[in-house]
Amino acid sequence: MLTIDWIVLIGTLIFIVSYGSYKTRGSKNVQDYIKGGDDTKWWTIGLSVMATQASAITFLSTPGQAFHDGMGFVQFYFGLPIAMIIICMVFIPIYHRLKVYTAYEYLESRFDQKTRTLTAVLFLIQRGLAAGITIFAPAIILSAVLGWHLTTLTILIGVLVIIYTVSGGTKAVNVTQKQQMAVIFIGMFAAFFLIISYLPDNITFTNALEIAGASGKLDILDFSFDFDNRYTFWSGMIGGTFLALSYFGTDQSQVQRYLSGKDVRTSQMGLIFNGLLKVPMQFFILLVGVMVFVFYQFNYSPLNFNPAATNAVHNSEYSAQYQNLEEEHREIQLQKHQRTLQYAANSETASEDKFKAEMLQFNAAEMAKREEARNYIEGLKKDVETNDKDYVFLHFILNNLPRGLIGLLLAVILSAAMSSTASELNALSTTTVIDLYKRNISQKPDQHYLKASKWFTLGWGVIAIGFASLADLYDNLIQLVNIIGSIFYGNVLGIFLLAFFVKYVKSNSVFIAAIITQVAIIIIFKMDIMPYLWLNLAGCGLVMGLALMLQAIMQPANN
Amino acid sequence: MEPTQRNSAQDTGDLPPKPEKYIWKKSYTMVLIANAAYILLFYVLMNIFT
Repeated sequence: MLTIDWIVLIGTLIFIVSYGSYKTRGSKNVQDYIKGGDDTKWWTIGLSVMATQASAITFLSTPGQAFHDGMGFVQFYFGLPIAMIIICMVFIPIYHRLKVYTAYEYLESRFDQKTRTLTAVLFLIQRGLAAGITIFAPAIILSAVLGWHLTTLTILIGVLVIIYTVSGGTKAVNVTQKQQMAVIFIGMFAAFFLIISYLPDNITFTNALEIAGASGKLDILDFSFDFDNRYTFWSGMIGGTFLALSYFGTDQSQVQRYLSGKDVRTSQMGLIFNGLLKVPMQFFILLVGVMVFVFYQFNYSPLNFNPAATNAVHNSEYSAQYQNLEEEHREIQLQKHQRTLQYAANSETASEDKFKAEMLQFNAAEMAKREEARNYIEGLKKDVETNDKDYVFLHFILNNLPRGLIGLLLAVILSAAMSSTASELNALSTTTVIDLYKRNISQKPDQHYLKASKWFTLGWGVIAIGFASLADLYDNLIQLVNIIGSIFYGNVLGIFLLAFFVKYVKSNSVFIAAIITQVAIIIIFKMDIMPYLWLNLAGCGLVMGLALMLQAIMQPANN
Repeated sequence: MEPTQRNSAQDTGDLPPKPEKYIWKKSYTMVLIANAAYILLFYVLMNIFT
């Protein structure tokens, strides 16, 4: 990185942190600190909701996902707009009516304290782990690629977030997220248009889409009922709806964002904003990944994008074989480049089907070489990540973007990490204070709870940094975060759906059903019985079914 | 407003006030139409370029 990149990166981060801390200093009371004074505008809520969900993992992993597997991942978000509508109609009016600070507060009025506590604890476990990953994920990738010290990077990200989140609470999170989203949009659009400009002169955007399509990267929709396929239209619409309903309706890190609106309408409009823009935003991020793929049809790409893995194998007994593999890979790429240029020059007369068949052959040959490379890396038996999806976009940025823009794109990644982590710490602290601490300790003055909120924010920040330091990279990071969510969310959503819609069920039935369900879902996950997106539906259905059964059995005892 | 300290609720079905009727707003229709349009666009793109 050159000086200009450091200036852009450090300048952006310092501005966001210091502006956020300064503008939101001096919270007067708990309501101010937790709910942002109840005067957040709807578009701030919308941006905050988007920024909370779109962590660094989104911008590192998603383009890499599209590079390798195409755009099918966008189907994951098809259920989100439906979930937004349900939350607007059902959840928000109830939360506002009861003037709750947390989603779990409502459960005590509906069931009892132990159900509220159980649900709050499930949230704290799940979100606490996720907060660690939100910090760790960008840190490990930046460390591997830039050579920065991993622990230092982890602590740096965590500390930057802690500074303004402890100082300003919800308001600080909202203010900084607006700036972070601006940085993110500017950076991603700049990257997109630059990629297009880097393509050969005779390759138009339409040609680029044709090339991507010929390579199977534009297979956006899959209407099959293949249960083993992670991303289909049906898993996105059904499983995705339940996941989004759980996440946005019952996860305090999102609930707190829209409860900072002054009234029901403001909160609803913030979610509608998200419902309108989320799918196109994810489509665009995936499209950036596809354009990176097209770029590498005309430029050489490494056999494995993870530099740590490549270095490790080059310094091992497999070095000679790996170098041969790299030569063969370059040869395939050269043939592919020439064939692609030839097609583009004669696209009006050339046979599309023939070109597609040839591209599929080239890509299959390339995939085979990459798979062989992964086998060599695995054969090292060291703690080196073989899956390089999370490194594709970063590799492209560092090796191809102009100076200055590299700093901006790194700021995008760190901004995304910080925006998500800030919401998480804010929510973890609020739930700890309101649902556990305040609920179980005798009444104290408001200022005491304000201080407690700040201390708990700091405490959770330290815990998140601790988790991040112990985390291990697992498969694709964006999938890991969603896997963790899917294990807990279904159960929590089921509890809330029972609370809203099934008046027959009482607290003891729900409580026991929730515990059994959580254990069952963990076992189902460990045994790999179903793709993770369906775990939400399974958990939700199981807790509801069990609660109804138990209520029927326990009816006399409850009465 | 201060968050109220709630005592353990009696398990006698003491429910919160009845929620308001579920009101369908025009903005919800807009969201559904917009997303259906996105999916249609994806389908068209897929068919043109694959």
